[in-house]
Amino acid sequence: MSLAVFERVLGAEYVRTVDEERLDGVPIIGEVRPGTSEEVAACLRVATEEGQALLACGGGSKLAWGNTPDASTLVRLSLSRLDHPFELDAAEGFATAGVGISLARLREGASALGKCTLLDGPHERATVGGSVAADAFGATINRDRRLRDELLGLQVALPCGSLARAGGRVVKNVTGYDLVRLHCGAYGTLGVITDVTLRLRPIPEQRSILTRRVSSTDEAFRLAGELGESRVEPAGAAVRFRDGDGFLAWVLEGSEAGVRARAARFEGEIAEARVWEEIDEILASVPPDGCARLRVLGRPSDTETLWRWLEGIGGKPAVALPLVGLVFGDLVEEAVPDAVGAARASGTAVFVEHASPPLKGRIDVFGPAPDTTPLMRALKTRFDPNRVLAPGRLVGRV
Amino acid sequence: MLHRPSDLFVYESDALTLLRGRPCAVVFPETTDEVSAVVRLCNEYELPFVPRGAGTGLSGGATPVEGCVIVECSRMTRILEVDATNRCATVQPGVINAHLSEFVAPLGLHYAPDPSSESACTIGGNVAENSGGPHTLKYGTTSPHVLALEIVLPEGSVVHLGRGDGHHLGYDLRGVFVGSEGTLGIVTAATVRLVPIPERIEAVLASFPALVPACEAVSAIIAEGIVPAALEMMDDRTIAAVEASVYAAGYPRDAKAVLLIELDGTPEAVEDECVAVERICRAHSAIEVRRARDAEERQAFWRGRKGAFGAMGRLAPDLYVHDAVVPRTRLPEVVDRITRVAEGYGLRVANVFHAGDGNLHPNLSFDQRDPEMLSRVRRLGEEILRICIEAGGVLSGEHGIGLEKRDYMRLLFGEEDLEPMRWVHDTFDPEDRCNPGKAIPSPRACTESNPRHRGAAVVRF
Ligand SMILES: Cc1cc2nc3c(=O)[nH]c(=O)nc-3n(C[C@H](O)[C@H](O)[C@H](O)COP(=O)(O)OP(=O)(O)OC[C@H]3O[C@@H](n4cnc5c(N)ncnc54)[C@H](O)[C@@H]3O)c2cc1C
Ligand SMILES: Cc1cc2nc3c(=O)[nH]c(=O)nc-3n(C[C@H](O)[C@H](O)[C@H](O)COP(=O)(O)OP(=O)(O)OC[C@H]3O[C@@H](n4cnc5c(N)ncnc54)[C@H](O)[C@@H]3O)c2cc1C
Repeated sequence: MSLAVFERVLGAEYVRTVDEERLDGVPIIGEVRPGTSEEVAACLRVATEEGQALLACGGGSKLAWGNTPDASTLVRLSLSRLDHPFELDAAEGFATAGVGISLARLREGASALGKCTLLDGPHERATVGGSVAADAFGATINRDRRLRDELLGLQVALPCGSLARAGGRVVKNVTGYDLVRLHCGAYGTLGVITDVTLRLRPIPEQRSILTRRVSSTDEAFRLAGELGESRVEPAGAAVRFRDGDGFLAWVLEGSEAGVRARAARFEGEIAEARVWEEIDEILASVPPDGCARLRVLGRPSDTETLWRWLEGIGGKPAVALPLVGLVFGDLVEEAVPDAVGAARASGTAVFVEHASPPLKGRIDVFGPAPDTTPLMRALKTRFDPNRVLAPGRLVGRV
Repeated sequence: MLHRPSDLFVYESDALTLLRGRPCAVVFPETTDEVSAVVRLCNEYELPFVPRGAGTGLSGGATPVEGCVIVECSRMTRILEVDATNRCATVQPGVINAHLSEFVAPLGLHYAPDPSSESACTIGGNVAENSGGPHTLKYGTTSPHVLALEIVLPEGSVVHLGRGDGHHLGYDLRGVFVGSEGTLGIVTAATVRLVPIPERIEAVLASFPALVPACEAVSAIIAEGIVPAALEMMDDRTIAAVEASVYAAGYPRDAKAVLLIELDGTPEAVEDECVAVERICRAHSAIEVRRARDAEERQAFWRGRKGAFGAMGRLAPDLYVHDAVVPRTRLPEVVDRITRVAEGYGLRVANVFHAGDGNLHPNLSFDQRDPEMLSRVRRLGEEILRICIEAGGVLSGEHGIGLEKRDYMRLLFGEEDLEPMRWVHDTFDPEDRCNPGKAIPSPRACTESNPRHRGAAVVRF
């Protein structure tokens, strides 16, 4: 396909040919950089007409997530120029941000007003749009802190070339179907988000990191269980264990009096912020060559079982987030297909976040297709009949 | 199953009694399999069907579509599983909201979304409406509390949306289903989160000489970084109605506005916040600031608030409970405008609202036997929506669109916004059999040609 059709929409300046780049083995033949939401919509329309598959791209830090695109070539739709609108309203408590805005810029803008958002991620490259589309999170997560619950509205460009709004700017809204949640975590396979409105929260008066050294994972998970059932209500908690040594760490946020009171309820040593940042860095890291990164999911009380399961199949669990039932770790690639089979047999949910293209070609990185796969496929067909938005990437290869 | 006309009468409407329709039958399944079987039969005979919980909905969501089968979930009341460790419970859809909280209270837990109708409405209805309540300010509406759903699709098969462990891979169909007003299928089981009962709860009642300083106090509390569990406002007409009723709560009768502020959390934090809230209210010229002395007085404060709709019911034969949202900082001017516009229609509005969320409930008392008055109420209702939307608001904060506001969706959304909603609808219900004609307006051209889309209303409101 020639990129000329995109040039007609954007002008030659924002369209370029790309050589020797691939995503999961699929050649990326070009890059287009629309500057407005209307231009994003126009690119989608053209792609639909031409049957050219697109890959939405924010900071590009999580493009590894998802199944191998079911396309012969891809054009990268870079959203870096969508750095507008950028409107923060402290009194109403919302921020509207173009999807190309980096998390760092969002944080700066919010903190100048004494506010923060749940998108306070550490990743410098990551964008608002990529985080929403990938339903991203860091270590500071509990069941009250889900990105999808913080989104008030968004605008999305659709493959037919139209722009649709969902939600609004108010915190309570039951006006029609909740399509905001539909696009959060859809990896840009139903539409390309162009701006997002999310809640601004007060910056907590106090934030403390506490840790307990442990000498075994038994001890770590026993403590994590107690912490979870306690009235400490941490904003996040993590278990880290390696070579016979490790710790349980947790974050407390709130008013000074509240944090002090909750800190006194579960004994721990005050630690530096760095300890917590390192956990985030591990989550953001890429596995060493020859290894795949696995995310194992379950209920909070299953966390220890998930850790042992990963160990049992020869993997190396690196971090567990016991408040939400997540374990992250690496496994040599050769062992992954069997592990995926074993997971299916034991009902363990595994998401292979990172793997080499040949391995990805052999597995569904999200595991067995759920009973909703026909619905998801039908939905994809309605939104994207020509399958131009990252086809095949999501659960069940929809 | 009920099918005699005399038995069907009570099912002709939900709590928005202005809209009525006649079902051909009402069925009361007890299990998922029975729901599925009923739905398959409806498909075989090409009958539309309408899911129904307790019928407390206020937007005509459960109003029968002419000749439909009503699938009432009131016999599906089993609490299937309570998992205290992971703080969640799986229940059948007919479980009454407040019963769930009562059931898990011995474990120190409760179900947070608390619509004022909590003692009657069902979890299935709450999921379908994404219901809120006074404590939505801090704890969110229903959606964040729903982990997973078992549903019967409009063609009769059973699927599972979301995961009981709360993780989410693939399209968030659970999130889309919550708030879909019974148009995408029937909930047959819901796994919901439970949260610890707060250790310490304090309620502060502040009365003000006018609405504006009360609204400013609300903004000031939030600007201070305090997130109260609830922040409810009542105007003078509501206060008068409540104080004259069995729900009398000791609200000062001379006040123009009363704020009910609840704070919860660790004792230390709550004490600090209470002091701050009291200071802010006084600084905004509160006439009186009172903290509930004990749980009993706190409950009395709430009795008035939760009974407000009931109390207003005494003012006239009918009450139209309106629901819309505006940006919080626009509350004073919007309320003022609504009051003035209402006067122009010769109608009186009593306001109760979730001030912290900007969620307004302007309530209109009237007599539906008077057609001329009914027409004024209808026109004022529409005008209120226009005022709210102009101020940057939306059509509904918690009662949903149903039939009542379906045709107003275009005040807020263009065709290009509505079209993806229809794609979602048609994905779940390609035959348009499940609660047809609710929530989402059809493309303009179809409205006339497809009689089903005209909805059920015998009285078009
Ligand atoms: C609070 C928080 C903490 C975080 N902490 C960590 C951490 O500790 N470890 C970690 O690994 N990550 C962390 N992240 C995630 C990190 O921010 C990710 O890198 C981010 O989610 C991806 O952003 P990106 O712009 O690089 O997305 P990309 O990699 O560019 O895109 C991600 C996916 O979304 C799609 N996409 C991108 N933009 C759009 C759009 N506009 N519309 C539709 N689809 C689009 C892409 O096609 C791709 O599938 C955190 C995020 C948050 C919010
Ligand atoms: C006095 C009073 C106070 C109220 N206060 C509040 C409040 O504070 N906050 C609030 O949000 N609402 C409030 N409401 C409105 C109402 O109570 C809620 O909308 C409630 O969730 C409806 O529940 P229900 O069981 O009565 O559902 P119904 O009225 O029977 O049905 C409501 C909708 O849900 C659908 N439905 C019901 N069951 C199912 C199911 N199993 N599967 C799929 N769809 C289903 C129906 O088709 C319909 O569209 C109030 C109502 C009254 C009368």
